[in-house]
Amino acid sequence: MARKRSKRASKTSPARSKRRGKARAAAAEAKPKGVVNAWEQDPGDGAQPSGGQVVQRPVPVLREQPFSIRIVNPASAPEAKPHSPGTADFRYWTAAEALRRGADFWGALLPGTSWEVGSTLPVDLDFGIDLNAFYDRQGLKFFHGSAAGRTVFSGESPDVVCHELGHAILDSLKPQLFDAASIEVAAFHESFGDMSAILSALQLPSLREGVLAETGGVLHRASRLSRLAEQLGWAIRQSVPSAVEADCLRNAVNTFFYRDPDTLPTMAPAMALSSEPHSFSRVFTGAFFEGLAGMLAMKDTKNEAALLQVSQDIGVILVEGIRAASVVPTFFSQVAATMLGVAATQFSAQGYEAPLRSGFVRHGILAPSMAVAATHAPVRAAAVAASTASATLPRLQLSVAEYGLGVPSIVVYAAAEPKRLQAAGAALAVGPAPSPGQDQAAKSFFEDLLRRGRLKVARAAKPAAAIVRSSAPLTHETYTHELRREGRQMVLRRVRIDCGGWHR
Amino acid sequence: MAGQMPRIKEKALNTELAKHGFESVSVKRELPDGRVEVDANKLHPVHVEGGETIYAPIPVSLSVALDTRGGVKSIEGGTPNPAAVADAARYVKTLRESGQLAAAGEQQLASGPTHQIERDEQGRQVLRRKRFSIR
Repeated sequence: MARKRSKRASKTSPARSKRRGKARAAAAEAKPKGVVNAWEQDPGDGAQPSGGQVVQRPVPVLREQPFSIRIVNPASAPEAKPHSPGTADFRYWTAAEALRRGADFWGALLPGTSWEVGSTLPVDLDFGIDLNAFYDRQGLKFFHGSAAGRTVFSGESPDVVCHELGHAILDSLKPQLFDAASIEVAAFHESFGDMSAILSALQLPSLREGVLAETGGVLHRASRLSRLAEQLGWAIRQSVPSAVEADCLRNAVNTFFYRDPDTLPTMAPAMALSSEPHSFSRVFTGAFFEGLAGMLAMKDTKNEAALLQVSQDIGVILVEGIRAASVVPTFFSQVAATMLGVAATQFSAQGYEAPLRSGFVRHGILAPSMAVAATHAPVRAAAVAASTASATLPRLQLSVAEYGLGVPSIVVYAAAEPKRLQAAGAALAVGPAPSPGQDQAAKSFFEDLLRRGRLKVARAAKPAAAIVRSSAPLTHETYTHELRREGRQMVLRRVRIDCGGWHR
Repeated sequence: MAGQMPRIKEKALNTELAKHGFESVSVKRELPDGRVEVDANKLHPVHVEGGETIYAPIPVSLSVALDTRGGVKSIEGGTPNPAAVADAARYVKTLRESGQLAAAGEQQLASGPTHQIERDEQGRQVLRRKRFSIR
């Protein structure tokens, strides 16, 4: 394809090239000059309904490609100049700026793709009274609503705007997902909306600089980037406190761990997980954000230019992953596995696969063995071949070939005392959860160490096996276990007890 | 870009596959033997609580052989698997219990619902998404 294009280009006559140059110059002249004021990411700040950062941005041109957009309400654009927050004119331009920025970001990743609704996406900035925002196959609709004496406009938040825009983008990329009757597919659509808000925000230099300063360069910390829709979250919190998180609508820095949605309640307070798509989406968003943070942590220089590069690279990985993923009930793991494949093949030099894998494993979207198999087919074959481990108590021989540690099996010291009481955790449905056998319990424990990034992995095995915690301290180790060679065997040994908790 | 289908041909394939009950068709790739791998949704009966049957769009994969005029010669696959049908039944339950499923015949959707059950031209009750919301 590329060769064809360059051949054609070489055949272009000087006259034609001159005409093209003139056309480009005319287009540039048609671009309005000047700047508008806009919210950087949201009108709110943490738990407060106000305090968001105002930035000055070039006047956006919505009708431009890629992904042409038209604001249909209000019908005409106010004068393109910096307006004060709190005015309708400011709200118009902050929405327009966010729409153009999001469309430009995704458009660069999806050349030649058009909206599912037609050539132009219609946007209504005030469709009525509600604390909500919609994407339907007619366009985007935003609302206004009151809380504690304050009127909140959902279309005023770039986070909300880029979330809804994300639905429209994903609908263009994979229309099959719109209607698919599947919990994980619906939850993934919501997650994509939140990922769209995060990645679109990262296209702003001021936000990149701000979030790096706010987090001390450790992106996997709650920040203005990870908190989605602070003001709308505040407004909903005034009437239903449990419906949203403490400082925003949803936070991408979270510790939610994957569960089969069938085992979850259909509704739960925001602090817990349910099978409701917005709630369940947080598992994937959390893993994605952790992967993004880990990708930045891989960079020698963690500055705003590196953060921009990482945001664009993860966009490529996400889009290609979605394209290749099969639409099945376990859609999260499908997308995660295909993303790992893209990272391993297209970004091997950058080493992105390891931090992404860590995010997916630590949030339970991929089992460690699945995560390794997703990118290392020979390891997958070895895992199948080495699946018959002998068990000798109290020392257990565990087969670990599938984890890519460079050894087929290890020795662990098992909890092998006879049970004094027949007790087990409760299953969500009825009765006790099945009690695992000793070898299964030992393997669960070992896999848990891997998932939580608490096992120090030998350097030789690292590319395949290491699960990295992007927020781990740089000054000292916090692994709790390591594999130590003792004679001819590798033995799992605890090296320390760390009371730092899951979040680290 | 091997495997990419010209858009015009893809449109014709969509029309052809619609006759076989497939919707939201997207071409995954064109195989060397001329067959086309396709992702789509297919309406399938889902048994929900109370003995009620609702048709829901279930994701399927299929492989299509085309004749020289672009017509469908044969289809392999395209039957929803039991796990996907069970997932759809749970999905309907979740939508209903979380207030995201509007009553049939409701003209103007209230704020919460994202889905509605509609009657299609064959008289079937079909689950349809109307929109996505921020919460």
